[in-house]
Amino acid sequence: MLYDILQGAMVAFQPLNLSIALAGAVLGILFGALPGVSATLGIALLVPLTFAFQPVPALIFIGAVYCGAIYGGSISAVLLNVPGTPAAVATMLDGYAMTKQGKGGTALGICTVASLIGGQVSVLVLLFAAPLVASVALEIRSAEFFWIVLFAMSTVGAIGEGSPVKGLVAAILGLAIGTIGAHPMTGTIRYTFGELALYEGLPVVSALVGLFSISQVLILAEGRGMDTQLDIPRIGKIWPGGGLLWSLRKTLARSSAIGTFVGLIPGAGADIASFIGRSEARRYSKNPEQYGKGSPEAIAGAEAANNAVVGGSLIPMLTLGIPGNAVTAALLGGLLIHGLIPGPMLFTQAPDVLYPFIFSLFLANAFFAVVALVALPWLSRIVLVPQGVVAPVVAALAVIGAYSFRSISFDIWIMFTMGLVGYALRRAGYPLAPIILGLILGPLAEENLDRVMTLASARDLSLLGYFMQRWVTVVLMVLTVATILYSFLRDVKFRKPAKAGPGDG
Amino acid sequence: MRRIRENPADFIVTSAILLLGLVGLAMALQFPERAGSWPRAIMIMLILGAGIYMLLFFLARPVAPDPAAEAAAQDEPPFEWSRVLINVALVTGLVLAAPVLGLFTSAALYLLAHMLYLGIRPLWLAVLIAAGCTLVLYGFFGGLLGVSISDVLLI
Repeated sequence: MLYDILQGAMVAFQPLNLSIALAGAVLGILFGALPGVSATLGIALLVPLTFAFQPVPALIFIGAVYCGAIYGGSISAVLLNVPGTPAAVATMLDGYAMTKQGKGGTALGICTVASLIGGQVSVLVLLFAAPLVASVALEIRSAEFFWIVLFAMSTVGAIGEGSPVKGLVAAILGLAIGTIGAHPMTGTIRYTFGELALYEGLPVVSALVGLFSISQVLILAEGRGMDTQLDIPRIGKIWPGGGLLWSLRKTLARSSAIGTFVGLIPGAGADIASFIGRSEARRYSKNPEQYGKGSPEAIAGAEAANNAVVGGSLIPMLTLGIPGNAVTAALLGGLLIHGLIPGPMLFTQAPDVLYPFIFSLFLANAFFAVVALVALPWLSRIVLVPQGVVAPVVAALAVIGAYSFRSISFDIWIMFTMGLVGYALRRAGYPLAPIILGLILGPLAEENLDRVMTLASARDLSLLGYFMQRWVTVVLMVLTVATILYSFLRDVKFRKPAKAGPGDG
Repeated sequence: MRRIRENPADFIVTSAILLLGLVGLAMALQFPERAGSWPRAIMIMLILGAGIYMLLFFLARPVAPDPAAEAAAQDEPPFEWSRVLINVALVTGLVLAAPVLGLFTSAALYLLAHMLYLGIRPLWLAVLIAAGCTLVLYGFFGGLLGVSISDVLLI
């Protein structure tokens, strides 16, 4: 393992890979800073750009974009009171308040350092924990893997934003879309309507690009704030000062740990982590009354946690092949198109790809911090680009990106259709992340289920009887059912009684 | 009916998902045995999930009004279906035009049309942005990455 780590570091430090990490970090900052263009959308749009790359540079690029985009969302949050990504909402609460006090630069400086520290801590955990998890994951059998997938899907549906029942329905819808194509073992065609392009199922990249890009284009183009030309306040000094940073050390350490742990949980993304990081910072704060009025501690708590999600979320994705959120689902799509199958075998079969990727995350975090500290006064002007320009450019990039995957024009239609579906679902309050996760994990679940059914049949056991043979499987079944039931109860409980009107009995 | 009037998108989309599940199940029941039982199981789960949400939609007590959310909603301009349809039509135009006019030509025309519709002015600025973006996309995808462009989807 030590040899693999050293080799990985050497590859990551090659000039080409360094350049790609820098480019990815800068692009990520720009995408994240643009209101309406989230980290997920940025990665979904940029994955097709990596088709022609070799696997190592491709992953380095996507990873760097991920790190930069999560940080970049704080720029518009602090300067404009508009979060560039959902993960920056918690930062916005105090960041914009500091801007109004003329301390926007200091707020951005705290965001930069906190994001750097949170990101590096989580990647360090990823570097050492992932191989350990992978070695344990090798012991996981088909029955357990099947229930891990179902449990992950139920959690993603339950924890995500909005109605938990809608989240579950979205997850099932994703699993349903994943049944399109040939059966993974027998090759029997399902739901293709005679279209050859669907034989291998709905292409993940086209679905991903359409679901997040086209739906967002239609949301952006709905006409709100189209003509508004905002201006940004003068940023001033960015470096917050050693004294202030030292006073935030406990908050930074705590939030980094929180973000890394939250990242491990399917469905809990950077937005949830940032709010937990902020609220925990407030709990331990000596000045909790300052929260919401421009507290540096609040900003540090939110930003360290949201960037710490990066490393944590990559652990289940790389070791089990189970992405916990839409961003890692997009990353997984990037791995798949380069022929890399995430899972426990990845660490033994492709350490020459994996370790450079992990090391590049250290570099990407460092790069975005350096770039931000040096060039933020100029980079931040990206937030002034009108949405009337952003929306069409995203759509054009989505169309070209979808085509460039397989050079099949049908993929453009898949992308567009998924975009319309995504827009309708978003308007109705359904989350999109569970859908893309279902699309990716559905075939995996089916393959393992078929294997289990074959084994059960060979042993003259029913399916349930086979599942009940190992306690791990039983625990996972119970957790899945409990999560689903909890979702229903939570949805019902949230609906509080309306005020009684004159006509009510 | 009041619930449907208050949340039409919710009702329509959930009904569509329910219908999708029913149609999907009907089709899955026609699949040969070798197609596996997974599609049938998933479609049943989809019908159950959408059905349960529909029950919650009609039978659950309504969520208490949130004054802050209502105030924020009043500040927003009203939702215009015509604007949505025009946006969809423009993107549809791009998708339809790509095999006929070529990927990058149609992208350039689409960018210009959509930016003008979304209020980007003056005209020369929209033309400049459309041309510039198309050149960058072509240079990157077609040139730098060497992504193959078929005979149909020419420049």
